[in-house]
Amino acid sequence: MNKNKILAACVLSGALLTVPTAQAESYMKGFSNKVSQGLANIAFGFAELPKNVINISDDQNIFVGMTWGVIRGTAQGVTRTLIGGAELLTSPIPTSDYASPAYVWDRFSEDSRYFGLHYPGYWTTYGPLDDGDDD
Amino acid sequence: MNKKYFYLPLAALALSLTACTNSKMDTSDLKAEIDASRAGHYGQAMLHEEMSEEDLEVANNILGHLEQDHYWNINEKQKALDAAKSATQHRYASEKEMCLWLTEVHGPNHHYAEAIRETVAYFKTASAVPFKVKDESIGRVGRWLEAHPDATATVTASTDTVGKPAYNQDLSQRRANTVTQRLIAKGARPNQLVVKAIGEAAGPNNTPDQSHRVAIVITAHPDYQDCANLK
Repeated sequence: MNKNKILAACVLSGALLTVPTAQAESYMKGFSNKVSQGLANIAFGFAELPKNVINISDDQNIFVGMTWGVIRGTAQGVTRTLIGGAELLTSPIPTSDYASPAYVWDRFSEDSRYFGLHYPGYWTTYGPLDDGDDD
Repeated sequence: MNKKYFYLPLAALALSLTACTNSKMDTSDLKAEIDASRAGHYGQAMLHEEMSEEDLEVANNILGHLEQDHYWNINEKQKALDAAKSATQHRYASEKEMCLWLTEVHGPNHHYAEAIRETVAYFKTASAVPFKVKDESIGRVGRWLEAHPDATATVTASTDTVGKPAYNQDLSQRRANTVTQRLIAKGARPNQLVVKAIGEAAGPNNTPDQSHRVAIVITAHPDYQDCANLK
């Protein structure tokens, strides 16, 4: 290791050590949340598929649920999985949540949004698994 | 296969299943106890209070969703508004039941028969200026009326038979007005006073030249009311 790298490491370590404790705790919490969300979304992003099928079936009917719900759920599932990867990759950088709800099982009747954007054709009523009281 | 080998076990199975069925439990006594816990005005006040709290919880829950931008795809605002309105209605209903309960509890303590009857002024023939006034009595009635805004008082004035009836009618009106003004000066409100100018006195007092023609005040209090201004 050359002298420059040692110097840079010292400067960075010093900077981190001088950060006030509360800020450091807040940073670590945000970091761990983002890692947790990233891993969960990579692992369970596919759950968007049944979420869409269940909620759209309840809102419309089983035929719409099994067609449009599957299409939409697949798109949502892929998006959430990719978002999970992005969260994991950028976990050291403090940001607001990329996906809302942060976990696919949170607020099951709420249609997922990514960076505040949503897919068209969403449902507009509570699904059978969540009546809005469980948050 | 012989049919009896099929039907016999089937019959035995059906019999055993029938034996396993249990009769539905009678819940009428439990329902009666539940109803009893919320019976009467106080029980109903409690019930409405509980329902109001439940509605308010729904409204507050949705308020939290709206403020945090949760459940964006579901229009919850109308539900929250309805819940908040319902909470208000239940609150009013609870208040009303509570007041009815208060009336029920406190009503018997009310002094229904606390009417005051006082002869407060004496007039000589043809005069509307009293030669004798019971200022103490007028003061007592005036203060009582002032303290009880929902109470009323009837001022009855009469005359003797000297003069024409029309004149005496007018005279009794003036006598009543004299007393009324004194009552107002002692605290009574004009809308609490009912004037009864009866002209010539009836019955045994229907005689000429009596110097003890009087004005009488009788107070009245309406029925006991708790929370009369409830919505």
